[in-house]
Amino acid sequence: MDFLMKKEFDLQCLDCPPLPSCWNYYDRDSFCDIKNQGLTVFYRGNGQSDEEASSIRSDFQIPYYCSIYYYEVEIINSGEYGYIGIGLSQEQSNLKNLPGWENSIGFHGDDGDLYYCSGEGYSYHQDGYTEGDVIGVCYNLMKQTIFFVKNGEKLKEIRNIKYHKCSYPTVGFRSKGEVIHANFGQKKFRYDLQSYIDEQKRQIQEQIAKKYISDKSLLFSLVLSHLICQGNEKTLKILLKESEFFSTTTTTTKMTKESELISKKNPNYPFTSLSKEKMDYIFKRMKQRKKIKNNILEGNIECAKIKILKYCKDFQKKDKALWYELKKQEFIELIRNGKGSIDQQILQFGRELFQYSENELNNTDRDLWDVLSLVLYPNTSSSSSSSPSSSSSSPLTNHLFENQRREKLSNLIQQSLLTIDQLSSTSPINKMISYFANLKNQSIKSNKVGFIGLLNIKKIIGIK
Amino acid sequence: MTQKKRITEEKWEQLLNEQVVSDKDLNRLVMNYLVTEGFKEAAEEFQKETGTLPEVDLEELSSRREIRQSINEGNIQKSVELINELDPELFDNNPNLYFHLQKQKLIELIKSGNQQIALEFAQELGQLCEGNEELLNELDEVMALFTFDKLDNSPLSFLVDNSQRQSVSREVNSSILSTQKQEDESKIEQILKTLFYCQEELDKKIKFPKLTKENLPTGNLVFSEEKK
Repeated sequence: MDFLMKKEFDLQCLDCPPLPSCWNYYDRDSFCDIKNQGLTVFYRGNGQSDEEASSIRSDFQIPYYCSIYYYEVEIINSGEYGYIGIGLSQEQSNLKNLPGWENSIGFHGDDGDLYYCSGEGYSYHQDGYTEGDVIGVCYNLMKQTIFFVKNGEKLKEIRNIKYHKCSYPTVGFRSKGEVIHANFGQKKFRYDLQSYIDEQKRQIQEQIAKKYISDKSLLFSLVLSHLICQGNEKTLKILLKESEFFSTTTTTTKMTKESELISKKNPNYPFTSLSKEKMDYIFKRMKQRKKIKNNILEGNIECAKIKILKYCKDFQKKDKALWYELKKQEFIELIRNGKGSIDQQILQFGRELFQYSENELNNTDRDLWDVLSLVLYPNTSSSSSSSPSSSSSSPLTNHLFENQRREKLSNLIQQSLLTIDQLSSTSPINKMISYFANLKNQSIKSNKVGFIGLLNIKKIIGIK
Repeated sequence: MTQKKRITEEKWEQLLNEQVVSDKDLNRLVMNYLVTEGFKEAAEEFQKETGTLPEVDLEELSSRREIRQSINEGNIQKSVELINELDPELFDNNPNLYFHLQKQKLIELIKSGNQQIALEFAQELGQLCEGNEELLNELDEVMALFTFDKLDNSPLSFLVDNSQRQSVSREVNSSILSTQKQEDESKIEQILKTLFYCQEELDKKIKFPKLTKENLPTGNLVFSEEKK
């Protein structure tokens, strides 16, 4: 059930308070009788007077993370007078009332009036509603407005409706024989809620568009930064050329974009106003990083180490832990290349590795034992995957020969190299999106979610 | 007034690291940027380098660019021809667009100093927008240019400025993009704007490390907190 609601409301929160799902047996007036998995309510009173007015609330209240909440009620039997009230009420408010009379809001079927915290109502929808009608209640927490829906048709939207007075879906009865059945999202709504949600989104997006003007320079800087970080040097080169990055003047006839191009060079943003020399340096470093990456992926750790020291001569000191990982990998590659034969060189390397971990790092890790034990099980099938049938290979150490290990190490090294150059270690676009997702989670937890609750981040990015 | 909840930098970093976007999705966003902004060659190279598919026709990209270029040069006739080649129905669906282009053509004729031809063309144009009050008003504005000797010193100088060409060019670009069902803002741009808006909204509720324009591209989220 929740799945449907979550889909309707675009929710992505896993550990949040639940949505209302049925009527609450423990939060009702005694004349209300529930059947049908808590969805159908029968009024068992005689309906002689207002003292026999009887209401019932849902099991849970509208969660604060819901930017827009909706539920529907079908009138199964309008009883003697169709004197029914549908709406929302405050927690623990008096249930010997129809919704709307006290600390609640209600749309009544007999007179079509709307009641909000008062015994006096005002005209809302002339014809009211009766048997066979489906009434919807839509509360917009962002705007604090409410509107009702009759048989799929939206009625007038009312403003200034306080959440604490209207947090629980509530129905009330007043005449003999009344019966209603609710839909809290168990099945498709009669009303096209999605269009309303889309319209709300659109309005806010218009506001956003007016408030935040395009900053082409910032975007350009962001993309440059991403390309540098990911090592896409060819694309970067062509982009710089195509955007006429280094030309000091752009004549209108030669421009590929409008004069926004010149504004791309905003000195406040990184990379956009770099000189050719500085950019060349960036390219040089990119190439170096790429070579190191390829070396590691091929298993040529010795070469990688030399290049790393050329890139940054203090690397060994700066990042001891990572240097240690490199040495471990070097050992693994030695074994792999030795093709099963262990010679003095390898044993010596193993001893040094152990010494290194003792001296430079304060603890020896489990991984080291696995690596060193390769001395006992040096065999692996010649290149990639392991051969469990061979007697001198062990299932416990086969994982050490997997490509994944090289990739993981390579990624860590790349991040470290980028940080050394004071560049972003992961794509700034990635960071931006993570930040956005995080904003959403924090908004949800912060007791009033607002617009961001309507946003499906995966959909915006285009992740299928 | 309840004290605002506070999130420390460490906690924030930790939360950030838990969210990860795949390289494939990142590449798609970058490709979308290159294509929307019209960087055709960069897009092609990016496709070679990463294997990401541009989700639009790159040839169409260069036609769009040619059209924009010809408008920016003042060669309206050429741009109209190119548009008809690209999308013969564009003008049928956007009659105002056609008018705006012709209006620009008129402005260029006036700028070139050829009064006679300009007047004749203006009359044709007048017939074209007969009955349409809004367009006729726009036309009247341009007609006023005939009365000035020094066009760029007149109160109507904005019409003969390059910015007018650019405005027409943008209008054309948007129309083409929307018929192709593309958006004229890259996804990254949309995300950024929405992000800044939501950030402001959340800021009213809790204190947390924020993203500013300056630290965005380096990705080094140097958190700045405002004193409230």
